[in-house]
Amino acid sequence: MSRNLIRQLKQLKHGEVSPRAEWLKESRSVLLSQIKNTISDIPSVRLLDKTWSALSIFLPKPVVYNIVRPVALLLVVVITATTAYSGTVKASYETLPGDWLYSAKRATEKTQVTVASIMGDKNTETKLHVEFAKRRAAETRQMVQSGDPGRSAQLTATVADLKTEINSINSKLEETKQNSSNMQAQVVKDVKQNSEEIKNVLQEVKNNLSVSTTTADKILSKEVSETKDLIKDVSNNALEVMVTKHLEGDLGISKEEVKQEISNSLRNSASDAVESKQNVDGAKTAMEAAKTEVKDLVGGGQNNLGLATKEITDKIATVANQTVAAVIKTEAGAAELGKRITEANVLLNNDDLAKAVDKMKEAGQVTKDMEQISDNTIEKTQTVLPIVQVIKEVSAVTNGGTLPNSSTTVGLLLLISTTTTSTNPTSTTAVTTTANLPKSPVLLEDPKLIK
Amino acid sequence: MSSTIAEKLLLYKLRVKQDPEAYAALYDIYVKQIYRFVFFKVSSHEEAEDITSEVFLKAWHYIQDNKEIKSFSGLLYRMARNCIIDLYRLKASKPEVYTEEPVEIGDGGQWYADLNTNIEAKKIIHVLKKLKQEYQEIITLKYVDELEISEIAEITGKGQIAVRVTLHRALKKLKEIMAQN
Repeated sequence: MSRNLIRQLKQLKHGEVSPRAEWLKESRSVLLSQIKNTISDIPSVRLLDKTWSALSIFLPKPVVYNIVRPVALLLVVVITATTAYSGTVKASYETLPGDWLYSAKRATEKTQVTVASIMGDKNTETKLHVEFAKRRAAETRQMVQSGDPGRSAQLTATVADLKTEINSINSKLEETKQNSSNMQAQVVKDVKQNSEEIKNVLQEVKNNLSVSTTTADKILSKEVSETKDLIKDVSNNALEVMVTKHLEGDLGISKEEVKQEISNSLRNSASDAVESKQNVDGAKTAMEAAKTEVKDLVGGGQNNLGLATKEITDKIATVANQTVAAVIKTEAGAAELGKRITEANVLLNNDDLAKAVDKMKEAGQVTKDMEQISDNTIEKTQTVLPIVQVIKEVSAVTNGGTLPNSSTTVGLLLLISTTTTSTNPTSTTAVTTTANLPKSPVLLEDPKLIK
Repeated sequence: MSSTIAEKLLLYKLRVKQDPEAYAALYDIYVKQIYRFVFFKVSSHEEAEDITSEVFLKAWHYIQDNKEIKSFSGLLYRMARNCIIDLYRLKASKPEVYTEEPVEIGDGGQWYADLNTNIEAKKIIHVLKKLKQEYQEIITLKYVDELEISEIAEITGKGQIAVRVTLHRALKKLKEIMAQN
């Protein structure tokens, strides 16, 4: 009965109760025309609203408007915030002290160091310090090259920061000396390599600064020299740690690497010494030339400088004597250095690494002394040479505009102010100095070492 | 399931692109069901036709107002019910002479071919119309339109269990009336 009833009900669909076909057609077309009439009145909805309403066809409306929309909004906010933050940090990498985002850069760096030290990861910490020291050095170089006088205070601060970083690296190395498991071999090598780079950058800064005659730059130049000495210490310390590690049987550092590094250091010392010596020789030549020139002018009675003349000639003579003394000292230094380097090379050939490092350090000390002498000499000549220049100009004016020997003088002034030696008339001395020094490149070509 | 996805896609087109063709497609899907649903509650084919047209026009305006649609079929049935109620109210205020279902004369060969079923159908429609509104609605939705219980629940605004119970009782009542005839 029941099944029969249901069958009958189902059959209704096809028969009696279906709509007429013609009505269906007619009603459809009427409906479409009515619909089309209303479409033009519909206000255009914004795209975003359209998206939500479209989405609410597939998901329940409360879900779309209470969950999906807030979550999407939150995502947009979070993404914007994070990309803005990382963008700032990224942009700040290129900044210099005094720039807008520089503080952001420093803050990021401080956070990195703090996190590393909290984690107790000495390797990462050292790496970070090295990286930051590199950045400070690069910043210093950039600022000096730009030559913006308004930056001098920031420049001093940056150099001070650089010193702090270098000291941090040094203390980490000292710790490692006590307990060599503190640092990985790779990190020590990294320190060594980067300290060389920093040293080169600082040398460049120093060269740039030596052109300038302002007091601020002179002070800064001294600071840079000190920093350079510090980084040399770091380099030496790193090398020492490398040797210790190697002797303790750390496989991360091979004997060849240590030897290579020691010979590199020796070569650097030698070339630094050559440079110092050339500077001092150049200063001496310039001073001698100035002395004779001034003597000629004064002796010829062609000046109106009056009483000051004697004082000036005396002063020039003193400085000239000092340069001569400096030349003697540097020559002695070069000889000393030559001895040390030869000894170090002998020790290296005998595989006595620890002693070779000691010799290398001694050689470094000698170079440092020579640089000191060179710096002092240049400074002294720079105090005198402008006076000579003035005297000449004055006498030129009194002589009716002819400038005696002007080309020589300008050339000499240039010579003093730059430490590049390739085009310098004292290249003969340079050659002799190099001849005095041991042939360190031989070390590389020694077949016994490149096994 | 695929039919509901197709329906959703049509609704999407309708809402985002204001596509009348999409609405026409929806009309084609639902017009017969709605017509039958209306037909069982009103006295004549003419009224059923009018109400069905009205339902689809109202549904279009509803969609244009950007209101939420849980189920398009549910919306249509709800609107159809409301339209029927409106019709009853109108009839109540304007009393009308009740006419018996007119005999279809111009049905041609179809009428002869389906003679047996037609008589049966007429009988069952007669019986269905004797049932109370609630039972009539559920029986037609379940057996004539062959909807799922969940769909019926949505259309009638009842719980699924309530729908099952009502369906059971309606069927029982229908059998009783059939037995009496």
